[in-house]
Amino acid sequence: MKILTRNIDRPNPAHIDSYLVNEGYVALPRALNEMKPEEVIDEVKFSRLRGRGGAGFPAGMKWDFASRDRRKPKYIICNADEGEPGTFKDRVLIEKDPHAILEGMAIAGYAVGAEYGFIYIRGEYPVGARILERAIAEAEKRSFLGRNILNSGFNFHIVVHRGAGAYICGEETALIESLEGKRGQSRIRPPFPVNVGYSNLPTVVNNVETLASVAPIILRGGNWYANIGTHECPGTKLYSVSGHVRNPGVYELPMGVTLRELVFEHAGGMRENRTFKAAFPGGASSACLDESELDVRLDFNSLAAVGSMLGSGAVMVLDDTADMVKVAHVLIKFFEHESCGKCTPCREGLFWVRRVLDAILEGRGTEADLDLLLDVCEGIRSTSFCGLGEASINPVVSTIKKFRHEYMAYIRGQSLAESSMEEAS
Amino acid sequence: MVRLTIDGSQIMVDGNLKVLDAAKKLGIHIPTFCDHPRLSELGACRMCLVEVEGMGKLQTACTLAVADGMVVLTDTPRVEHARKMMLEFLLINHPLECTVCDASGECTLQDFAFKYGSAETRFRGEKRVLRDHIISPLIDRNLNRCIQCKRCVRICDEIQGVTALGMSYRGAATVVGPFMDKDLDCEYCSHCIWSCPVGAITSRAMKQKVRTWELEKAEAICPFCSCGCTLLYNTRNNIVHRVTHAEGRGVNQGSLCSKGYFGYDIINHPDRITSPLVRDPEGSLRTATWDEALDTVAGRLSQILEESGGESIGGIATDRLTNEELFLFQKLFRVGFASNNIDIPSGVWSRAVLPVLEERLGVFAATNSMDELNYVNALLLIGCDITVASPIAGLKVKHAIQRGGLVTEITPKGTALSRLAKRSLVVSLGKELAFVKGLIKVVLEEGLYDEKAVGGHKRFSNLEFSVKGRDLKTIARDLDLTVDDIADTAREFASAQKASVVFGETAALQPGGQDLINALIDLMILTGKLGQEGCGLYPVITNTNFQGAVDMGVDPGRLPGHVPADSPSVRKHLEKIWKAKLPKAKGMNALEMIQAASDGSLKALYLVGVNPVASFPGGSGVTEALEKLDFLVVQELFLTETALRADVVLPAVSTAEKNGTLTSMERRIQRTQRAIEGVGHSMPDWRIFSQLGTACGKEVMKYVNAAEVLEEIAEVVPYYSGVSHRILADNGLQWPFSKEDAREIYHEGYLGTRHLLGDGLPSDKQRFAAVENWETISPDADFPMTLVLGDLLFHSGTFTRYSESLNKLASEATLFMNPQTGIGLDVPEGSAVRAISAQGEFSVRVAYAEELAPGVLFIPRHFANAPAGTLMVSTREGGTETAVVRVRVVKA
Repeated sequence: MKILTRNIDRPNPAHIDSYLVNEGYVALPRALNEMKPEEVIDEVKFSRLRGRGGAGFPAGMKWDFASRDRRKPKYIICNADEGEPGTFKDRVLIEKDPHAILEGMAIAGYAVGAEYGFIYIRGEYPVGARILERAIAEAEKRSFLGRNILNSGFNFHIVVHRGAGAYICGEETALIESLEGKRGQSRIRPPFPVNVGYSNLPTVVNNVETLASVAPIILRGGNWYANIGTHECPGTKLYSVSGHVRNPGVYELPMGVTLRELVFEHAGGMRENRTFKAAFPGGASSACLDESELDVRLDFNSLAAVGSMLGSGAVMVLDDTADMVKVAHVLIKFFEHESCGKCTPCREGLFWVRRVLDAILEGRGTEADLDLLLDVCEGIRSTSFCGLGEASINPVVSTIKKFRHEYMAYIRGQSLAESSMEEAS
Repeated sequence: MVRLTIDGSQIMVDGNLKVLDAAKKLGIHIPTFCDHPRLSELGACRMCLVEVEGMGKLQTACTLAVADGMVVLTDTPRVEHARKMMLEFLLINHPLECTVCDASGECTLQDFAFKYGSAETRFRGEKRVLRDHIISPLIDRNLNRCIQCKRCVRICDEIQGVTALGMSYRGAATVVGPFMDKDLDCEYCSHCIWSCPVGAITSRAMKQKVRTWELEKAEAICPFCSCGCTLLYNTRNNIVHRVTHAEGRGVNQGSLCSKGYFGYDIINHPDRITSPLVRDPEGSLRTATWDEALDTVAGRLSQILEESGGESIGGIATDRLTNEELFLFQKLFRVGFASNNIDIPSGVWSRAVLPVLEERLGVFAATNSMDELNYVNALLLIGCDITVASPIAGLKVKHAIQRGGLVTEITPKGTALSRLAKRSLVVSLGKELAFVKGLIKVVLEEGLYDEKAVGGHKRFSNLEFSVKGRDLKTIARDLDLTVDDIADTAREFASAQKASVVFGETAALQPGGQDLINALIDLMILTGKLGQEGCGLYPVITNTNFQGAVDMGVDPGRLPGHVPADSPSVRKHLEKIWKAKLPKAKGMNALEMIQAASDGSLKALYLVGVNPVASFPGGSGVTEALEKLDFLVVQELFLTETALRADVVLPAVSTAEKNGTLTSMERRIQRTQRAIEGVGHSMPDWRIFSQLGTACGKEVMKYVNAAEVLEEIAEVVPYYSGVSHRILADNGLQWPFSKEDAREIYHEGYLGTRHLLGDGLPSDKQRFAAVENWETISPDADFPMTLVLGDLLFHSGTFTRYSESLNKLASEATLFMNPQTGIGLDVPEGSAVRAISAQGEFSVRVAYAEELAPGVLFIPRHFANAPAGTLMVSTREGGTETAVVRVRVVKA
């Protein structure tokens, strides 16, 4: 089922003409001419579309909140700061189908009463930024963007803003701070951006994939969309599959596909002569799943039920060659590096966790260190200011819980094979 | 109002409060690092986590708004564990160097670690060590001690409006510091030191000099300017070791400026004079006892009085003295020496500026309170670098700007507010009048004036006629401004509910300054901006107790209470109390006294805390004049250039060493209290005057303490009726107040009169001045440039030259000019030039400053390498300080 990826295999897919061939910019005039803003919001509500950035918040509700705030101007921000390790699905949309994003933003703007939109794109996507800028120019020329769109009286302007390389700016309030020219750090919530966002005005922040889903929903109706995927998590999802599989890549599948199906049917299975060991289903900050969890469905609710999360749908697959302690170490180093430093637990705690993992890897660890790690990680999780700190410890905690023997091998100075044998016996 | 429960206690609070505030009301202490009552919320340190029923995660009490029915727990195992964890996190990288840390003893981290922390750490391994470097000569930063609470960064931005500090880098490598790790470039307001909960930002001036717990704190009034700020002297063994901020106290609510915070090292300076000095027959100054010194002074002055009369004796006293001292100074001269030859160095203000206010408005001071500047909607700042002249008043203007107040600055020189103000208009000296007349023109032409206020006013048509001569376009072109600059300023000012005018010395003390002040008063009357909260006219006179000196009658022509010296009824009243005949003839002002010394008609001069050799107009002529005197007494803290030439030197004390009252720029009479005993054998000035008067045989000069002097002031000085040390104990009192009010004050918390003219202008004042001139300074081909002699933010007169700390920030004068001016004169930056006025000249190096108007020069007046007095020309009002001098500049 191809909804989000419907255009990507066309020749010259990013060009407006390629987009127009396949019902491009049909939803926008329909919304402008035939629907009231609240009807657009209702349609998105019927679709039960949930935000694809990771939190899974119902998009229609977010729009509704922003539309009810009477202050003006309002803003639509497309969060294209795709920085979670293992995630590369937004990039495909940005580079191959930018108009789908622009159309979604314009519809969102009409629905909530915003005349301005920003695309905050990560600094490492220079090609994507150029493609988006070109697409905006194309759309403006044909009156799909800009002043008085298609003579409807509705104005909508989009500006592309490139980030400067901080992971935290993918968090919506840090993104807004950065967009305002400040240091990228999360804000206190509440108030939420829907009321107090960019320049302290009502702002909808949606992920690229969420916005790209809007036009099809308006075209075919919310009910059509709601019937795809699972009941709680409708629609299709772009899964970024990476790691030790034969065919890494972006796969669009109905929400709720199992890990097994994704890995073994779509991504071509494991590399030759290798077996599945673990997977991080929602990027670097999700808890890993082991072999026994291959049949878990990859949607928001199913993954939450097993103590992990869908996040942005970045599935990192590891085979039996993976050293889980090193995996945890490399991921925690990423979060330590990307901690913005604002709050104590994330800033100091991740420094600490990394030091303990250093010691374990260098053979200086003790078994008590594992309990210490779990305690410190729980401290970070439960007291951090924002989601970065909260989720950052998931790879450490989950690998200790599921692959404790690998840590013990380092602590005892054994090889992994020795430790596995011990585990088995 | 909402009702919530915290730890089982119910409380009703304002719904806008945070849980932290509500807990505070219940007396429940929740530990915090990043929270600060004057700053925006941050929620970063996570120290204040509490449990809230129905919320899964722990919540930060500092950011969580109270809600009806909310149940909060601050004392559960979970909360306890979280606090322990936060402290453990913070201590991972915090160096445990409390042994040498200046914050030890008043460190929040130390206190909380002791109270809530664990006795041991689970962290093994090396701490993060950040390489640090010295960022300033007075403020030390220690990155490793920093707990990233961002208080310093926020206070620098949100309170001081400077943004000298920011955060760089990320995560555990985050550092606080100046942009791009450069040197600190700031106002040295000390807010960052104040706000730091640990020892990350400390004062270098007290580095490892004393332990905080050994210090005693004494509240006093800052001696450096007329704001009248409250501060705390921290002392040990009769030494002032530092100054700290008196949180929430006084007009400054704790805030201080560079001088107030760092200037205390003058007090215990090793060069202080510690005993009286008398010139021996061989001509050198030698140590003497007080008896010997006072007998010498009394004997010589009595002799001169007898031989040549009171007209041959004069005295000039600094307006840093207390009211009691200034009162006794004038009483000593009038009663003891039958002389009206008394003055203060800033007498030009009381003779050239305040009389304009008196004539036009019937007031002899700023009309409104400093605090009202916080809330003005529109403000005209004319010729006043308020951040320098009156730092805490400047702070209030910054707050007004933050609150959306529209500030228009008209200045010959960019200021700290230029960046923040709605518009900063660089206008050449002498052309400000045209700007103000332009405002009046717009108000008249657009009908923006206040009908009610203008109704009974005479000369309305003259006012209209006075601005007819030029059209707005011409005015704007001549000022190098746009028409909108003028028109919008006028519209904003006229339509603002609270609109005020602040003017400083470059406006008031320029040759035609009175015209400018008159035009400003016309504008205020025209727009109805007088006699209300937030609508005030503020002359900014920096000198600490200028207002007190004027009130006490230290003036050749005025008795206490601004009364003319020849007023029969008041003289009679005073003569009865003082049991002496008072001199009737107007005395000489300071400059006239120097002149009279030069021509031999003045025989004796008594100088108290003034240094004419360094700061009076006349250059070497002043020294020559002083040398012609039969007798020169200098009462001082230091052996200044002038004291070295005295016959007797009397050692006086600083404000920290005496009791008394000071009257600030907003008419607030405040009590200042002794923090240490006078160093060596020095004595408070009031006691010296008292003993000298007694030695001269005047029993009415006998007092046991300063409070007794104030009792007499309360009896004889109008405006001060009923005042006493007891009444002034807390927040002081703004005159005028009635004697009956004063009696009530102690019980009712009455603070006096916030703003004058509450009943409107007296009927005989209801007229416009309708100034006809357009310029106040006419071109002079011989001296084509205008030199502004002014203050630097870090100094005050020549007094602060004795502060080693402040000298580290600035210790030498350079001549500032616009690069364009420099290029025109062919004087590159750093080259030496001669500045020449009609009076004299000196050589000095040139520095370029973009913020100066072309043709305008600026030189700080504090330093010996460029003695301002050399260039200054006496004014017709006989001032000894004038801010504007016509000069020419040539290559040295």
